[in-house]
Amino acid sequence: MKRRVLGLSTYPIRRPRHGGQFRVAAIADFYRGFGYDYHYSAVYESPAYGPADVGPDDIKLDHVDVRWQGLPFMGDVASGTFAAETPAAYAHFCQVVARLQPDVVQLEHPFLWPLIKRMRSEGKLDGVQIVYSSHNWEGPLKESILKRAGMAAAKAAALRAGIEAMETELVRAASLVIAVSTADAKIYAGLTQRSKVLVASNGTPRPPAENPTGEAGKAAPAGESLRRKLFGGDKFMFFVGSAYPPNIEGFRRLVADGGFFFLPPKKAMAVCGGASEGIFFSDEYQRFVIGNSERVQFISDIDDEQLWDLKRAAHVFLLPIEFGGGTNLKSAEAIASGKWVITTSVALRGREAFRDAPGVVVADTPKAFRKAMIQVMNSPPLKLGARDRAARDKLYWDHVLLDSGIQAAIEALPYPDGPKKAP
Amino acid sequence: MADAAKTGAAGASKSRAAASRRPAAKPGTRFAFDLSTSARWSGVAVGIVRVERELARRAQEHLGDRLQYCLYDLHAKAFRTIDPTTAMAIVEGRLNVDFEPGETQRLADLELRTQVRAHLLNRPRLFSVLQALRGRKVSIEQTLALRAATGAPSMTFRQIGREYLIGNPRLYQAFQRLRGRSLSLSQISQIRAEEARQRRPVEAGAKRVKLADLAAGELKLAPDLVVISGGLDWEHKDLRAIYRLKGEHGFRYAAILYDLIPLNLPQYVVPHYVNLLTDYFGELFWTADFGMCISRKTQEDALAYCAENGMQPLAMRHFPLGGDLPPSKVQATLPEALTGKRYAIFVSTIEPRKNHRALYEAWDHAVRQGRIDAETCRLVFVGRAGWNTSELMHEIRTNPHTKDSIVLMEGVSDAMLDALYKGADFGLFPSRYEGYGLPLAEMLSHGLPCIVSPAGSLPEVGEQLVVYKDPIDIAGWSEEIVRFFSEPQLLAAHRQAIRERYRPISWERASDEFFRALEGLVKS
Repeated sequence: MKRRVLGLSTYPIRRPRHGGQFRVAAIADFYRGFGYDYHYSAVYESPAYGPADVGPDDIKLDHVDVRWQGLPFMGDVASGTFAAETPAAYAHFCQVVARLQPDVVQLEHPFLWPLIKRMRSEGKLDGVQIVYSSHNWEGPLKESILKRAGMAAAKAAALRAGIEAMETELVRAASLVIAVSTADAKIYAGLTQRSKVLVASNGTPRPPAENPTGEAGKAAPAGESLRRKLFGGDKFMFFVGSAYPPNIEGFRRLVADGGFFFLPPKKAMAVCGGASEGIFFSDEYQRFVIGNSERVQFISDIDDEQLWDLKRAAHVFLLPIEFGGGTNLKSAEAIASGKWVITTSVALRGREAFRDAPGVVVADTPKAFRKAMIQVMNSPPLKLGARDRAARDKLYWDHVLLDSGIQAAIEALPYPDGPKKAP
Repeated sequence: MADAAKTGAAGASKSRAAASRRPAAKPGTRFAFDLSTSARWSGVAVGIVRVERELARRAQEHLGDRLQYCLYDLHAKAFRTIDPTTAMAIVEGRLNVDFEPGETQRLADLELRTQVRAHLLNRPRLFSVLQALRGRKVSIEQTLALRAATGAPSMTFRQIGREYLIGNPRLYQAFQRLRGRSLSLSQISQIRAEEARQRRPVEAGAKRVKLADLAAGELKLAPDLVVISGGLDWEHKDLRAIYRLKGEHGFRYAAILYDLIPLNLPQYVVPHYVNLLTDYFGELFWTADFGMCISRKTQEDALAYCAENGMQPLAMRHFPLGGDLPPSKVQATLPEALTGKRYAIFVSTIEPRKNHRALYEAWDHAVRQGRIDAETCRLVFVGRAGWNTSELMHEIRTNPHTKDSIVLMEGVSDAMLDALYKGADFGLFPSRYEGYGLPLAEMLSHGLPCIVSPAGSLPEVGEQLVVYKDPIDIAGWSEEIVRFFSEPQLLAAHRQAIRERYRPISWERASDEFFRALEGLVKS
């Protein structure tokens, strides 16, 4: 029977940009690929997302409860409170559920659990199975982010405890828990005897087919011309990241500190995405801003075509992430690319099998990271054998989700009784 | 990773070539000696200026008609030729060049605004906020472009404020009144005139000429040219612009490397200079083709830097510096404080790296123990007080046990320095690190027994002719100073050994070695 799945979270997925969006979008595609009727609804923060980013069932976070006002990085938690406690928002989600009649509600992240908890208590989700699709074990991650943002340790610990309690409650209520790493899966398995716990690592989308260039009478695509304009045919390092603090802080400490004088004074590094601004204005980058800017090209706003073109031509992917949870989507993308990868152990979490793979350099200190960048930039492009290529192919979303056993687990979930039963 | 390590050297070589480092294979047949630092310098030629002038003075006899002299025009980012007569006038301190375009002595309001803007662009967050308050959103790219177009500020905020005030005499008068000082407008006018003179001090007797008035043509940049540069390039050159010029014209660049202390021992460098010099070296190793090092140690440090950064090492040679002082027509007499006294001498700017503190502590220790007669013996520090020494200077000036036996001298002439060396019992050099240690060469040239730190290049200069003491061994320094003062036969033996075995390095010999090594590099 055709499953009806409603996905819920705290960001839209119409135009994926960050890791969480890519994961949810991949899951949506995966479900739809099996013929499921998948719908998605989110509370989103404005102005981070504009009209072009949101879907028809997404709702803007209009009111931040007094409990979260003035606290940094608490928009996701505030979204849960908003959805559950604000009459208009609650009515919106009730209407979505009534219209779609899902037999499975899949929560991406735990933050909208207060909404689902209320709906369940009011009998609006009777018989509907809850799937918790985790992206991180969120409490400790949030605590580390808050402490790095300057919050007092006691306050951060209290907020962590609240998030842990919420996530624990959700795990215990869920019929199925999907974790991103075995480490997270162990935590969830320790919290519940009832729920089935699966691991589906983060994967990466397959690159679009390369645009042929140089055809007579046809201009090269815009993306390629940008890359050619910036780097010509020379080697360059590639980093892409959102404004998410671990992206910026890791880059500052492991890559930018000390300047880029090991590179010749011409563009040899592409920094893409929302992390650009935070990196550019960091003390580490500003210290030698003129010399650095001879070598580093920031592309804060980049379209997909240009981005793919840069990825295809990059000599090395940098993953300077020092904290954060889950498995890093960018590590899958970097490894699957078949390029050199310089990564921290944290960024490689969930991909430990590739730790000793050819072309993967693990560096966890500024000194080691710098040494690796120097050595790799002085190395020829990475060449992989068929076996290594095949191993990397397993990192694409289609493989990852198929191998995870999610489909069988979803199929095995019981259907609701009565009028909610799928037609 | 092993793959990367194995292929590193080959990769470095390729990236260097790609960086237009050696765009042409033609051997250098013409040389252009850059005098941009000497041309700006006023006062006694010491340190880097001394090296630039001594080598430039002798360049023509080595390179003949293949030599031109040049200046780097920082505003036009171009090298300009000067004739040999003008060059010698600069080398001899008779001519001082004003590189600033235009005639205005006082900074115009517009220029002050540019200075303020340059400061703000150095603080991009503040700049963004101010622009946002003005209703403008400035992107990273725009900030960078503005910054590049504006350039770095050359004045501090304090200087800008003062410049602005003094440019508005009534405002300055009112401000001074608030500080309890009453100044007439004519007095303010005098202050302005004095400051204008101080802003561009000119050596006594030196003529000051604007660069434009030298009718200096543009240096012909081509693959057969080697530019020799040994001045304060981090202040007077734009290496990034020179790198691009090299890419366009294919000439080669020979830089004198004094030391890599800002990279390896930044704690001993004036904070502002750490960033400036790190930036300078960061570009220099991509821009220069030849490195002329003032010691083997500096060459080793430069090689290590290149290796650490995966760069193809520069073609390098090392050469010694001369230890002879310029001949002086006048003969100086020792100051009264040293007349009839025995003394040990240390010649260096007073700053943490030079480690005057070790000598002060050692001296204090010996005096308190009564092992040095503070009535007859003196410790002489020759050099100005540099950065981060205010506590030490306070101690030296106030310690009742030593204040009368430690003599501070600064701004001494070559003639006075010669007299001081001649009159000293022995020399001291406790530095934490040196790229060469010119005062040690000078002391040995004067036959002075020396107690020296073994740090950096000092053993290259001191060879086996000096007594080495670890710069952190205060008790050891104290003991050795006492021994040198109390054992005349020991001093005599040292003097004899130096007389017999030390081969003084004159600037003649130093320049011979410099130009021979440079030509060898260029040919190879």
